[in-house]
Amino acid sequence: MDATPAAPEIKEAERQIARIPLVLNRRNFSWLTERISGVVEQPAPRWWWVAFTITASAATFGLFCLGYQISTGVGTWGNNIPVGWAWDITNFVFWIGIGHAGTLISAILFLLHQKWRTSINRSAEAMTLFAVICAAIFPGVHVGRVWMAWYLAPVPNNWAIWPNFRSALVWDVFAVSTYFTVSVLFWYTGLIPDLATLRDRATTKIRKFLFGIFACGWRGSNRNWRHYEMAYLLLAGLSTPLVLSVHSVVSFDFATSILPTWHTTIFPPYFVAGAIFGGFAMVLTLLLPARAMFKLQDVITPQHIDKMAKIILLTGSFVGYAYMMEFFLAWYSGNSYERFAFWNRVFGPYWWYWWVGMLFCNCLSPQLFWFRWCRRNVYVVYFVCMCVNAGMWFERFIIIAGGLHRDFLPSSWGLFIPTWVDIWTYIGTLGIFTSLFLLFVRFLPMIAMSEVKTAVPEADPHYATPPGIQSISPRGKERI
Amino acid sequence: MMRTPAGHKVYAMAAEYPSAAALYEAAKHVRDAGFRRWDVYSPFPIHGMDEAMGLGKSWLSGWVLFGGVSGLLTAALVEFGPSWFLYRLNVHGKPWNFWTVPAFFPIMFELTVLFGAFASFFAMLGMNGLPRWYHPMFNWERFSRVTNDGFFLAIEARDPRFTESGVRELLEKSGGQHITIVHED
Amino acid sequence: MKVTKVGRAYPLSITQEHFSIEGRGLVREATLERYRADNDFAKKIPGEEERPHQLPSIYTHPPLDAPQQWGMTVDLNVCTGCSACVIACQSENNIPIVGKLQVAHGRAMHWIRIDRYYASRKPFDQDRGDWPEDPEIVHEPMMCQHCENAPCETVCPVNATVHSEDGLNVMAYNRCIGTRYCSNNCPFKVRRFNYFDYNQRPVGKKKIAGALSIYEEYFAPLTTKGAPDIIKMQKNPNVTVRMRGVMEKCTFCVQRIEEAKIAAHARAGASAETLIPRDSFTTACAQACPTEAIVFGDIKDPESRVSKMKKQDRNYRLLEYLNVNTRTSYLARIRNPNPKMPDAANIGVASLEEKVPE
Repeated sequence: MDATPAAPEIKEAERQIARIPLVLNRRNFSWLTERISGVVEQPAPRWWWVAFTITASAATFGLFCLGYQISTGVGTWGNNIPVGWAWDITNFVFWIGIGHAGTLISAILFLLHQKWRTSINRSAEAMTLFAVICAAIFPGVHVGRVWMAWYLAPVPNNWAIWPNFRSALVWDVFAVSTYFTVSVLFWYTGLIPDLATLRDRATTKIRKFLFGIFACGWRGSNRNWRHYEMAYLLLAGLSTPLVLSVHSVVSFDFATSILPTWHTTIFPPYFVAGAIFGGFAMVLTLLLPARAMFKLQDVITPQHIDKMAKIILLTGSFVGYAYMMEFFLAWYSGNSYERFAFWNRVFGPYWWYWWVGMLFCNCLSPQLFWFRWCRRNVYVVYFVCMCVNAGMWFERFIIIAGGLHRDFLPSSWGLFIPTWVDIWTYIGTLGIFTSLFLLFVRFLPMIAMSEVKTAVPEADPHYATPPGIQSISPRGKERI
Repeated sequence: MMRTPAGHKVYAMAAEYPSAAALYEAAKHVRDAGFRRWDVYSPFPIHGMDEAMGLGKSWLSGWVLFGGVSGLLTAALVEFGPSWFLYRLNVHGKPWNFWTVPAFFPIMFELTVLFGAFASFFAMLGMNGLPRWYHPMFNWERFSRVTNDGFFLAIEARDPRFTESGVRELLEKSGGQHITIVHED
Repeated sequence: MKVTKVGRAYPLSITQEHFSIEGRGLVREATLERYRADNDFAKKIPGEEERPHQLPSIYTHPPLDAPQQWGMTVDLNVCTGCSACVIACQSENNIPIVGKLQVAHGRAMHWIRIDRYYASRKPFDQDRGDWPEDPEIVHEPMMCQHCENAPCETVCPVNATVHSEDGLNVMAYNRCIGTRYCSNNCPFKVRRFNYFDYNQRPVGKKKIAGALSIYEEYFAPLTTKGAPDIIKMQKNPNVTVRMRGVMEKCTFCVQRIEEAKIAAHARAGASAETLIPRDSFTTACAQACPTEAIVFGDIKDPESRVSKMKKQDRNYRLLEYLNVNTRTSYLARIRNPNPKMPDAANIGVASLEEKVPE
């Protein structure tokens, strides 16, 4: 980079320590605007319609199942006594866990100055919102009397009874609704400059009107950016403890109870690590195809995938460690109920859930990411992510139904067998989730343009175009 | 109030700059020339621009502190009110007075964050005067690139130091291109 | 008579699938010999050693300060497992009948159940297909234990289950939204959930045409609402029926307690003698028990029958290590096998059983 000729070995050392650019092929601001807005502005490709038809059909049938279950009774699911919670709460924890990666990427990585977050944070945040929507369905409809669920709100009913603020379920209501609200605010705050971009590029009246409304009159003024950046920083600062608290509070649903395998202080960090683990796997599950379909390889680069794979490796190892500690603590406690419950987890009726889900999918498969070629091979990455997605569902099922089905009194031991309603309700939420994501990539910029532009070298006010490198005109246009 | 020969009210004189670095340097010039009512426009926040413009820290954080504290107090009121005063219930043999507070921490925390986040969002809009449907800068055709790759600087006519020739000279000297008068309406 | 295999299976609905007590000290039993050697054996049984040393509480519990405090004992020595209590409770408390399929799905609604364990000298692992050898059968009536520190209460998000000042764990059905969290957190799994609208909609198999038949509860919105008059007339008018989506459980026959209280107050008139006379009423299960194994009454009154039962050395409480402080306690079972009988060695062994592998 230096104008004076340097010795070849110094040049080589500089080349090696130079940071790999986050946006490849020296794409300029205009290229980013074109490519990212183009996804929204051009007509939907055929594969989009095919995918959307499939996911929307699944979502519709899932909604029918919810209607059937609400009108007929929770008995349409396989839940029973002792297994009062089964797929319903498993799905809830599964989805809410997935909904952690987005805010983690936008908030914690923001505070840690990880610029690579800029190309994935928008879609990860959107994914978070959709996952939380899917999650919120389950505690909503799993109750026996859905129409009375407003008793959970902090208002007295007609006999002046208030909710029980000591209950972890009320904490959950507050935690999940706060998390959703704050995530929406954070997401929308990030969207405002990009909505302004779409507004300024809009060619039809209706687009101009709608994007105009939602862009709030944003005009990129630095006096606005000053407050905006402070608001964004503070939202990140508020979201960081929030994202760590949400899954902690979800884990309190179990940790504050007295059941063996539930009653444990290791749960909050264990659940948070698991949530980040599963969340990143889902981000990659969605972004790897989206990146290929919309030709965004220069923005979501192998470096990004590599970094996310490393986070999956780290959190996956946390999770594996937590699994080990659970067994150790059960043994060390000397409590026969605890010891039995963990013995039963591995060798009881649900043994294969543990061997396949927890051991293989969650503990072993991410260990592949120790190897660079595995992190760089999108097929290996995708395989591991699918393993993690499945494994995290199994983990929650083992914790919930596995903990309930054999507790203190052997007289009440039982098994849980899912019905078709259980299965299709879950598939339905997968449909809702993917449908919402498909709608998102069609109608909103899936990459935060204003943020990813700050990762381009020219965004630095002290940047001087190095000699010998073609200065790319900001007017340069590239067709997609 | 300045008017153009055609009778339009003048909002500002504005210029476009080729890069973030150029805009940054120009901002320093304008700051040093002592202007108060002016602004720069860019597709993304430029690092260090606040100092280049001579702007201090944003006190939006004060609103957030206020929001957070009010959330904490709201939660304490909503939780202790019924449990301690309005309707005492013996739940799991747990105390109904102050000593039940560990069970109340999660909601206190959540409402602190919730109210703080609302404060942050609405203070951002309020302090920026948003949402607004209209702004004079939108009258300039070139300005639509501000959300793409354009870098602009505008000095408002309201500024006491504003003179057409002086500002034009300043903008030219700082490397501004496409210097123009922006109409108010 | 000849028995032949027909090669077909017929599903039976049972309420308890597990055989072994897993060495958990739930039913405590000894031979007379052992009891004579150690009168306090019931307090030294596996399952009891998990009990932590009495630790100081960081807070004081809200007072249970009613003049009468209700409690119960079940004498396992005389319980024959006849299930009269189950039926008495069912008719007293308007407990719905759920049909065979729902029983098979683990949704029986009985508020009191008879736990049955096969005790055998030789440990067996049912998961591996072992069967008990020469088992002895022990029964244990199980109903809400009315824990003073009830784990079900703290988890209820809507305060639908709380404690009354006379020590009952009470349910407000109208407040219940049916999260089932209380049932999950109940160590005795005595809470019962209305998975369908058993009181308002028909339940069970219905023939449609030919071999096609349906279970009507799964088509509830298509069936006619409302119970037939004959069923309505069978209900106890002092007890409400519960709708679908509501949790229910043993109330210690709270309607009888309240009836007795009202009567006592009426009798007392202006005087201060408002206490219910000692042992003047009892719960439906205790009333129906042919061997008087179940005793209910005021545990604050040292002269009541239940207090005297609780003073016996055979008295023990279940899962004391959880510090739930149950109001119901059990009296250990004493057997006196005739040594000349071939099975004598297999009697009185429920508490000897080995623990499950660890």
